[in-house]
Amino acid sequence: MLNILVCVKQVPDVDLVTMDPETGNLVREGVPSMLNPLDGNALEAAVRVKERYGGAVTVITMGPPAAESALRECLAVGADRAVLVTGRPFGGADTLSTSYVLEAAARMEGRFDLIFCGKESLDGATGQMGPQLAERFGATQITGSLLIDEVDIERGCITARRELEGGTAAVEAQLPCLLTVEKANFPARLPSLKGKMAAKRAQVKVYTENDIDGLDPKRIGVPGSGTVVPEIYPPKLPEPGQMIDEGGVEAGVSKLLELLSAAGAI
Amino acid sequence: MEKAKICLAVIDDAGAAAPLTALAGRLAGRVFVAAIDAPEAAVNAEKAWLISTGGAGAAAAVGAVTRLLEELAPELVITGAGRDSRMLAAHCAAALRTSALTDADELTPEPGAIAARRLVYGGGAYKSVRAAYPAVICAGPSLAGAAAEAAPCAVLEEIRASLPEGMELTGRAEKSVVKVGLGAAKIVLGLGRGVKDAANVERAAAFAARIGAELGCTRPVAEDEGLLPRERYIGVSGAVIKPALYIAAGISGQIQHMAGVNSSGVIIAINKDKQAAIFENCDYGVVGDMMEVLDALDEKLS
Ligand SMILES: Cc1cc2nc3c(=O)[nH]c(=O)nc-3n(C[C@H](O)[C@H](O)[C@H](O)COP(=O)(O)OP(=O)(O)OC[C@H]3O[C@@H](n4cnc5c(N)ncnc54)[C@H](O)[C@@H]3O)c2cc1C
Repeated sequence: MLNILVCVKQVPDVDLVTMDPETGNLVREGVPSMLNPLDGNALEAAVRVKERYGGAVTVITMGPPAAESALRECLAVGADRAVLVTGRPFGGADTLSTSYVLEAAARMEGRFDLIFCGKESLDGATGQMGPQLAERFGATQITGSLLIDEVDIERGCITARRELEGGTAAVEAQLPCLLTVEKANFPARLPSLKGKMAAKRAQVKVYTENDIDGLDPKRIGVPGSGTVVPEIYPPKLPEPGQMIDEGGVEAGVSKLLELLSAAGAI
Repeated sequence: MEKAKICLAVIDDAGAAAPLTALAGRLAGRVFVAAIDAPEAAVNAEKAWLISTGGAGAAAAVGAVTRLLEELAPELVITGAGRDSRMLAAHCAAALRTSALTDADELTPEPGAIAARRLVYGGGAYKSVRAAYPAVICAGPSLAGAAAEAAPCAVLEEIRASLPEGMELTGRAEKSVVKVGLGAAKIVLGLGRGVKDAANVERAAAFAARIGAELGCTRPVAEDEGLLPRERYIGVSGAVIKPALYIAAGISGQIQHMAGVNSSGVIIAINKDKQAAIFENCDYGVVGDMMEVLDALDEKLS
């Protein structure tokens, strides 16, 4: 029986996050949140392993209470258990303190043979969580997994294909192993009606800062972070340009010719 | 400007070696290099360790790099922008008990810390971030792609690295790596979804060749349509370019794309939709069918 953990995050739909041009603040109000898409691919990989070899999939997230809905999305497509780590002191965490908290909370749930992570989150996109967690769990790791070839429960190892800069490599790693997952071969499945119903009824276990054994308050949230974010501001964009819509394609072509010759191309 | 004492540049991509080690020199008094499967990266430093993984890839170098961190106790670690670079940065950060600043640029040393800027929300916003030393910086594409001098290192040491305990390489398949010169190109022709199909891409490529332009594209053209290799897409999560002239054809002008081109000298956009966002962010806008415009141009030139 494989004990499988998937670490997920709820993110705002970044396409809909806008900037208030007056204040420079991000407008996140009314922006829908969702399961980080790449975490959906990681969950799919985990559920496929469960379906092939047997076991249980636990999803875990640290976030505000509303992040529960991301966990229910996971329960609808094959996760068996869900854990929400929530509480004000956890807020403002970077990858250092988030990985510390996730590992401490996961330990409350037992030992995991396989840990899956999305490659990166849509909003932060640091790609740091997987390797940071592998260090925390003392696990081997296969980043950028393209395919999972085999899990050999008897020998306690997994074989997977990972992407390298110049090709692919097949690696065998001892369990516990952490895998970050490439999206291409693990498209997230759609929930069935039955899955949705079950997810609605399922219980989500909640841990606050008081429920996790041995949690060091200095290592969580802002105090536990290695980085500080003093401000968020909008990027500078080029100024609106001159429209060459008079004269249509002809005029556009002559402008392009002019620019190309200025750039020394012709 | 208060420099860090020691910087270790961890380089797994020869192309990024010169800019990143030169940057390290601006930020720290002493620079060392861990060159992973890239002997060419032994530049601009007091000493370089040539780490060879025998084809196992950057994951195999983690142990060797961590030992260098113990030996050197650097205040600053700099890595490149690629996927393996980010993985290495995460391990360095874990070893130094910090978080890496990824996709960073505009690095400014402060007493005991380094400040940087990073793009977040898929390019929708910048975050200014600060990390106390020891800090790990994962340079964004604009830093990793900058031009810089390269002076070879006088002191070299070779390290043979293998995958960490419990891991074994059981096979390997090479793929042809596409070398794309987007960073250095004077003229770039960027293709968006408006290009529609492979036949049009081919025509556009022939035109680009005629005017000596490098071909680029938006992310969906590479990732979703598969019309051009991933190495050619431009934007926050792709290449950041600074050509003298950028021709954006059939591109809607989403911020994630524009963040990669807004340092171009002149931007001219061709789009059939007069309302397209790109017309807000370019120097010249041509309303029309992109293939029609490119064909007419091609004809004029022949
Ligand atoms: C986290 C994140 C990161 C991202 N990173 C990047 C990135 O690095 N780079 C990137 O490019 N995108 C990135 N994106 C995607 C980005 O948001 C846009 O979806 C993408 O840039 C749009 O590509 P497009 O302009 O080719 O396509 P579309 O938005 O579909 O636009 C196509 C345009 O072509 C025009 N058109 C159609 N036919 C013709 C014709 N015959 N002649 C002329 N014009 C025509 C249309 O009017 C339209 O404006 C990212 C998104 C997210 C969420």
